[in-house]
Amino acid sequence: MERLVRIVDLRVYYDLPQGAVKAVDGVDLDVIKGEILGIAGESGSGKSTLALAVTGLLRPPARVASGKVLFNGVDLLKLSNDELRKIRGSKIGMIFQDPNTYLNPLYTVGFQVGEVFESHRGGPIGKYLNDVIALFKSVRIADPERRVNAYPHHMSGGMKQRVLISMAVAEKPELIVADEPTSALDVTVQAEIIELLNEIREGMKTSLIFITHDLALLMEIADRVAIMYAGKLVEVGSTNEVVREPLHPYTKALLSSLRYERKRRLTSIKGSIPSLINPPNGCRFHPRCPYALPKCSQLEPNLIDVGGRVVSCFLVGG
Amino acid sequence: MEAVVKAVSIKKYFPLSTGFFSAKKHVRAVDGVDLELFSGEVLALVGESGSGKSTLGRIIVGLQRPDSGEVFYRNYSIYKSGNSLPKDVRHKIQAVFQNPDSSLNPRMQVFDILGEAVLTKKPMLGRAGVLEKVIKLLGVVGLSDDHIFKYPHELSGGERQRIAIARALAVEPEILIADEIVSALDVSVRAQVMNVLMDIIDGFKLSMIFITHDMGLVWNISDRIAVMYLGRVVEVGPTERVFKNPLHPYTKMLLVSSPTASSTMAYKDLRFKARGEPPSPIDPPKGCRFITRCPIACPRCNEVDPKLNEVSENHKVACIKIN
Amino acid sequence: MEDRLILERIAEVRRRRLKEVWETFKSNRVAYASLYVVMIIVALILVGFVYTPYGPYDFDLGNARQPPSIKHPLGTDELGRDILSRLMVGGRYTIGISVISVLLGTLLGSVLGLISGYLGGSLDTVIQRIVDVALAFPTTLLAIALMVSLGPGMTSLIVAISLSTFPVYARLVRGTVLQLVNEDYITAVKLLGRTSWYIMFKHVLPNILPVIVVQSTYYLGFSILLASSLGFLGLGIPPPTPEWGAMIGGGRVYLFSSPHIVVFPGLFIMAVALAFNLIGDGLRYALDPKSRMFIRRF
Ligand SMILES: Nc1ncnc2c1ncn2[C@@H]1O[C@H](COP(=O)(O)OP(=O)(O)O)[C@@H](O)[C@H]1O
Ligand SMILES: Nc1ncnc2c1ncn2[C@@H]1O[C@H](COP(=O)(O)OP(=O)(O)O)[C@@H](O)[C@H]1O
Ligand SMILES: [Mg+2]
Ligand SMILES: [Mg+2]
Repeated sequence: MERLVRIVDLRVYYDLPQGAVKAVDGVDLDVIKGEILGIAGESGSGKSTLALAVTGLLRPPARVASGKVLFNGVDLLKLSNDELRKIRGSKIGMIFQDPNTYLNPLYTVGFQVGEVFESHRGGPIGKYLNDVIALFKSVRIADPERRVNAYPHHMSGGMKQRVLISMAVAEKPELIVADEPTSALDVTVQAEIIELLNEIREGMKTSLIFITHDLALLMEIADRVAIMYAGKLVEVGSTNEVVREPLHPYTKALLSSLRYERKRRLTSIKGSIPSLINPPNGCRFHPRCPYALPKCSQLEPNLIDVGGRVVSCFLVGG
Repeated sequence: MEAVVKAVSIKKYFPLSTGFFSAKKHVRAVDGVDLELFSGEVLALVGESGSGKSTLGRIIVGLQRPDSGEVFYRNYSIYKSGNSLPKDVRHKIQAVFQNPDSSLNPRMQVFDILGEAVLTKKPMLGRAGVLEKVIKLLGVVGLSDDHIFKYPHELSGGERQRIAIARALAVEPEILIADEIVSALDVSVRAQVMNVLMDIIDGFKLSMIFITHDMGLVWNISDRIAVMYLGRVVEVGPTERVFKNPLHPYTKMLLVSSPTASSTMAYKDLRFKARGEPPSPIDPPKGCRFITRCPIACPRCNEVDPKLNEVSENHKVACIKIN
Repeated sequence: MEDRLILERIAEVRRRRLKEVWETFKSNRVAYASLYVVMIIVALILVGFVYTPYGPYDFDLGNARQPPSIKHPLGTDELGRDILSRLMVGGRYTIGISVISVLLGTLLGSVLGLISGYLGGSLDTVIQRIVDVALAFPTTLLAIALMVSLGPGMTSLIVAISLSTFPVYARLVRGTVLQLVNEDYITAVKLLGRTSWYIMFKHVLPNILPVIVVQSTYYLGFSILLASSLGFLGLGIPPPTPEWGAMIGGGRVYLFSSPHIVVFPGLFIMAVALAFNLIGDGLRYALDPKSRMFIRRF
């Protein structure tokens, strides 16, 4: 198993007048070549911040307090903006939740996808028309010859997301980071996008980091899942194992709140996610944890290896 | 069974502002819907976004006059009597909406938000009486007395939605329309709100229309399900029956593509995996509206506009291939 | 907890929230200092009602155009009148007119905007057409035109300034209301069976009040400039009333030989106008930290 990305003790803080928001606070995580790594967690747990760090897109007030993001052994956090721009789009592709933020309403989608080629290979955009059409075909945009001339507002949300995907895969990247790519879409459209991403992964042997708050969806597509809570990872392991036997109380709670039974009350987690400016001492989940021990409020559990799986909880493996 | 709400042949077209010279176009948001809500039941209303669920919901609560058709609360026609309903009828049908950020007035404390609702029902109640009622309502939605002092920005999304539910309950409704009220919430919080709903249905003898796109929640809470596509109801029936044996190809597609439906042992046939997107509601296809995406369409589907047809007891479907 | 205590605490939390707004405002040094500037000038004007070092109209041609000195801290004008005394008296016109016109303009504009936005329909169309026409003229030109046709004097000044500013409020308030009426909590109150008027005044108005207050503060600064400009052009209150703008207008021929005649009234006008703008900034942040208001600044 070859590692493509190694994230080492990453801490990203947002400096606000009220204090530093510890959005990512000591994350260690690897991405293996060719896998789909799912990252799940409630909103505000730091998933998007992690995605931005991996793609080198952090902007103030974000600040990297410590850590490394090694991509093929190169620390992305040390690169200049120019070097990053070269890697982004060619080696690393990105897809985000709201395609409108990334598509300029004044240009045709074909032109904007052509720009990706132009910026990496040079030359007039016009000469890439056929590449763009081929690309649109590969992400199964119907009627690509006509669609290259369409403006974003003439396309549905699902179609725009396909355009964004085509931009991300244009240069056959080694890694695609997808942050909630389907959260704004209907389940039917989502299902198709997921199928497409899966095909791309198989066809190009790309690794995919798939971020979502929807654990049910992740269970269907990810090879491995990482569960994030309040800026930290609480459990990482292969999807099957985590689903079959979750170890961390938070993972357990999440999974059981997804168990829908006829006319039965759902399992809920009391309280809500804590402030990331003053996170709780000890284990960050302890105020909501049904199994919390006295020491959970004082000591911070480390991520420990339990048979190929890592978990941070005092109740597991000592 | 007795219907508490009955919507009959509802149509609502929204005019589209187009150029000066082109013919006037309309978005056919709801295009001929009949729907009944029976006493004490939860009816789930599902369908892709844009299929007209919210518009139908707003019509049923009396917020939006339909272009044609009628809504009856018991035997009372709610759009017949001018623009405002008498208060006692008005209070019978309440609604809670999707966005927790806009469900509460940001300049009012929880006490005033709920107190206002309490006072609409009982204008003569003194402050102490209002307080007592407000505390009781908070208890019903699982919140403690401390919340009474808070402003909306001090509450989490789940807490805000629970306050919105409490506000609706303050006027002692019989019918609650819940339009995607948990869609913006995280799973753990979502469960809290769903449980509150489940409690109040029994406690207050409510009938509810639960609008959602999450099939897991449909399975969890509803007695019957109505599936909407492009302004029409294409299938309606008892939830368990529809999940195990869906009849309309669109229902099948929804069940197959929904991740949360997999834990419910629902129907799964990959021939009906998702494809395409709904056509524009401005000029929907002639014949069957689902034809552009239907894996089992036949030539006749191009011509016949299928009507809802009862195939087994209480189970209706609008598809000419079923019979 | 006892009922009475709970009710008291609810009221206390409400007061604390107001206090927080005040604290936020105070923490903005510039805005807070501006408040002092305004208060000092207002105090000078108030003192002017009972005491001035010299009579504002007493001329003394032997002492004309004296630069600042111990006897005349801000010097004397072309007729030997004490400039400080004249500023203390003139302020009541310049600032008084501005405050009254802004109040009237705000009231008229906000009520029209509220009705227009909330009730909609043909009333909305009529109001908005009027506003369109009024907005088509540049504010200052409109005010000049009104003054010319109404003739000089205090009442006409007030009428001219409020008439030339209300359309901006009508637009602003209407826009804000249109955003608000789509909020779910407004719908929820409708479902309770409350009347439109109740919702308008209980729910919509309190939510647009911050926008109105902030806009009015900016407008105060602007209308002081406007009142002074009209005075300068001789369209305001006729001499010898020491309205600040008119004072500049009277002294403008001596701009190079005795600049203090023009500079001191100019400084007063600038100080107040600027202070109101800075207070507006402070209020805006204190009332709405996320700054989502669509405010017109000057
Ligand atoms: N640009 C920003 N400025 C300040 N705080 C931010 C910013 N972006 C995110 N945060 C904060 O960082 C935390 C993590 O946010 P995010 O990474 O977006 O989480 P997720 O994607 O899991 O919802 C949240 O508390 C959020 O409020
Ligand atoms: N006020 C409105 N004006 C114009 N079009 C509207 C309005 N409300 C809804 N629509 C349109 O009607 C259709 C149905 O919308 P809606 O009822 O919100 O569907 P859903 O709730 O199922 O997503 C959509 O195409 C939407 O754009
Ligand atoms: Mg995010
Ligand atoms: Mg809707």
